[in-house]
Amino acid sequence: MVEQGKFGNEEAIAVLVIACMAKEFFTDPNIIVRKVGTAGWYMVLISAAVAAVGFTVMYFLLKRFPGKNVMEIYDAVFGRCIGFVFSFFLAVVLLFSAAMNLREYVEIIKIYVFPKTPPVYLIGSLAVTVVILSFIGLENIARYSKLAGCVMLAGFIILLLLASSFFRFYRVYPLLGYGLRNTLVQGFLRSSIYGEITLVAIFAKSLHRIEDVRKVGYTSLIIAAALLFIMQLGLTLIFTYPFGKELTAPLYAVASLIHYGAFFQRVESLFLFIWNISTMIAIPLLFYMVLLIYSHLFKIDDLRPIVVPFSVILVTLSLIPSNIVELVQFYIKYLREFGWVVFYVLPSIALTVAALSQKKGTQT
Amino acid sequence: MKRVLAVALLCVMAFMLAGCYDARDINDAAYILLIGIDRGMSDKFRVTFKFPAFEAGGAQKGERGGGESPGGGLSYKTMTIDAPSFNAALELANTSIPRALNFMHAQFIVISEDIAKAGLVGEFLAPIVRNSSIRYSTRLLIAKESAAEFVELLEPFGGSDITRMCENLIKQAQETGLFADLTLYDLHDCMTSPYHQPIAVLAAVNKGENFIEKGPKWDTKYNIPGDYYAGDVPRKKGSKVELLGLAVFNGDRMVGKLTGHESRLLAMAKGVFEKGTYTIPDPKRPELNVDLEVREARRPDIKVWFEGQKPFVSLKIYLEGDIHSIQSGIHYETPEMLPVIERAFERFIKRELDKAIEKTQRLNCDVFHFGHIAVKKFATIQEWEAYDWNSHYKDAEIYTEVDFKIRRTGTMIYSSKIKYSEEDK
Repeated sequence: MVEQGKFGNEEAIAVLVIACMAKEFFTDPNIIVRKVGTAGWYMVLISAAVAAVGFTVMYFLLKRFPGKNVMEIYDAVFGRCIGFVFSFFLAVVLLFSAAMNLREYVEIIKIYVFPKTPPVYLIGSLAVTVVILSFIGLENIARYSKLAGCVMLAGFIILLLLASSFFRFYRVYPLLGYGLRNTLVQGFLRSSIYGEITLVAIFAKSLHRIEDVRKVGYTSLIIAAALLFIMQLGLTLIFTYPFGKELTAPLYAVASLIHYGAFFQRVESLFLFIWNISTMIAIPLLFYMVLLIYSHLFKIDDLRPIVVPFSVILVTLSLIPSNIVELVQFYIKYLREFGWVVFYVLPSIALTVAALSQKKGTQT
Repeated sequence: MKRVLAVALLCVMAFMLAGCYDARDINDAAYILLIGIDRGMSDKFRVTFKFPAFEAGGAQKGERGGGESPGGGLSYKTMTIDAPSFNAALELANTSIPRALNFMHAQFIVISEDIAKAGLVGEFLAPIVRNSSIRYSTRLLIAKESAAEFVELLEPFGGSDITRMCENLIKQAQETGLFADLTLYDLHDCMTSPYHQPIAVLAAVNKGENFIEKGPKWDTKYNIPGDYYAGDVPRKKGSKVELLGLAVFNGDRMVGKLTGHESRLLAMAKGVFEKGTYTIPDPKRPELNVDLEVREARRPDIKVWFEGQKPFVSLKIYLEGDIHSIQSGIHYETPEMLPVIERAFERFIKRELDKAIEKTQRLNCDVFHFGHIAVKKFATIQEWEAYDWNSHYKDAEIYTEVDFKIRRTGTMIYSSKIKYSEEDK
């Protein structure tokens, strides 16, 4: 049995919020504008409402089987064979997410900051970090997240405050974007923006009580939704929707706009810290979750022997997209639009089956 | 084993921290400060770069020679290349300059009026907005004649360097309102915007051609201050270049110009007018003038409504100001007389504003940003784009109103009559 260590609610909230937010610093705001135009700022709230329903299902599932994580619950509900398939599917999606996030980070860094550095070198550097953090363990990732989270939150707020001189409120009009129906559909489809919140079900044992899962889940969701709302609203107020559709990394573009005379400009280097640190937390977290699921599936007691092989798989998967267009318009698009199936539908099926078959766990 | 691993990791980290692939040594880079773009002769575009001279022992000598220019102890060089695109010019420049051209500190991108009128701005800017080393905060200017000449002659004035000169020059937009502080971000955002049309700052080399030294003296005629385009101000000496007025674009094609005076009216209507000095004819003695320092009192009140497809706009601007001078010596500083100046100024601004709006309607370019209010009447992007505000702007019926209040009368609160002896009366 893999021992993950225990940590508090604040650490868990920090790690989950950072995992949700990290991917939004890259191409996601661009995709949101392309899908819903000027309605992106409240589309993220619609997604949050859907994610809240999804998380509630997950919470009821965990409550029904106290002391168990989601993989053990799938086994208990469906039996070893189907449970294996459900957990394996979750691991595949998480590993793919980590790989695509890694590749997206590298592509953006290469465009804006290190144009001459070979992508393999950047991917390799991050893979080494992932390996080291996996050896250190989830408890340390979570504790570091709490520390980094405060700094990142301050940096994020400062960035938006500095950019507030570019806010123009006419840019939120037409208020319904490409239509309310379209916004609702996209909001539902893109609810996987908050899919990382359900990771709490994988490391549920690291928290002290089942009530903590509820607290951590809802608090993380509210904080992530608030931050995403602020970010998306800020971007909408800064870039008209035709311009927003063009930008590869809108938040970085915002940082590069900040200019208060000769002595206060070029603050994007500060923003890079937010980018890098959040990615250095989000990708290792996803990767570690994959290791946890895999070790459960194949009953491996020690994670260390599988860290390096999985990092090789991670790097290999990240190299699959042949270019940024394919990465964004195929891999990331489908991960974001169909991620909700894994994050919310599988637990819903498990809860329904458990309720119908009257299966319940017992407190150990 | 752990120690060996730790040392190995530290070694790996040392290599990573060095940033070897993208390391940019200051001695290996030429920091471009100004970029000029004209139509080329040997190729499509003529691109001019201005950068600090690289001299042994630093660029602090201030010596002149060749293509160098002086300024505050720093010297600068310019280089002009004909190339099919910006990136091609960049590469060609690097075949003769032994340093990598770096745009991190670029201040102005200067595009010739010729290019702007030919609708080539979008074509040329396309690679620039994709280039991550050129910041969206870089200012964009439209040069009256040659951008290369403008770049060549833009030199530090009053002991500053070019960077400071550019920053301070742009600051004058707030001080005078005779042009605007517009960046690459503004132009690119507006070029694709369905809400309004773009504008850019007009720039020119002032050759002093309008400065008349011989001939009849100015009589009592009235000239609106700042009612010039860049390069036309009647002046002699000072800086060789000037920024004044705005270029009006339809998409990426320059279709007209606004004078400095019209630029101020535009700023007032958009609610971005900070302050400016106005000289208007004295209402009681029109052959003499009254000087007013005018500020925005509060943001303009703009309403837009539709009757069928036809748009209607109501614009009310609120201004306040101080009396700076009363040449006639008439005692306007009374509760009864102040409104006389106030109403005269309101009539003056309304008349000029109506003319400026009419001018932009003839160009069918909503640079007054009425589209920002009109969009609120549309629920979805599909409806808004189907209506196409930019095409309907010319049909809009626009009603203007001006409210002006005098707040202070300067250091004098009473005007005494000048006394003449009997024979001089």
